[in-house]
Amino acid sequence: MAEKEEIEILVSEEGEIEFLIKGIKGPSCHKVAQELGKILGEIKEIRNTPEYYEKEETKTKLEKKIK
Amino acid sequence: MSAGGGITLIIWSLELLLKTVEELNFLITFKRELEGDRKLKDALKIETKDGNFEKVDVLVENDEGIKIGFQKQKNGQYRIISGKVSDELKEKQKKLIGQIKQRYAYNLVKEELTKKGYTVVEEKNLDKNAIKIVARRWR
Repeated sequence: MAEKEEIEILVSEEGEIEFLIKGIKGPSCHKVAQELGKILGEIKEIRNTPEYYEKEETKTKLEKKIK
Repeated sequence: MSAGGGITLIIWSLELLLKTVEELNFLITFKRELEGDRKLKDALKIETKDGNFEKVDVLVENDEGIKIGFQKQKNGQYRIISGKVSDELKEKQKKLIGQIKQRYAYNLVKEELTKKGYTVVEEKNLDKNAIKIVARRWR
């Protein structure tokens, strides 16, 4: 089943850019963030939201279970 | 949600920059590369706050005489140069630069994300004149 990816971008009056990437699991999310950075300029910072870790943790638990 | 962060905008595209300033209805926009006349090319200079003159590739000016120059760097980026203005106009000039950067970023986001298969599903003007864009794709 197809998964929804969403990018939310806020551009301030001064031209400062903030982004939020939703629906992309773990490190793939950083790849999308880097791509976005390349398009718009230079990444200042990337912050992982709790869900980033949640999903990674879930995956790790699952992986461990399978092993 | 997975990750968020901040990006510093860099102006690379001359085409998009010209489109942006055109949309913002600045009265005068000069572009050095378009002018065939060598004298005109040399004339495209901006007086900085220190009283020096710098050659620029794009010069925009609004109806109040506020000038902003864009100078292409060796790495292809455009450097923004503020023209000399009176103290009363300094805040307005800062706002104009922000306006250009904001509109440029907006145009760039829409153009590039569409190329990558995203559809813009929401566009909103927020408080403090910020713009919000939400783009979505299914994978």
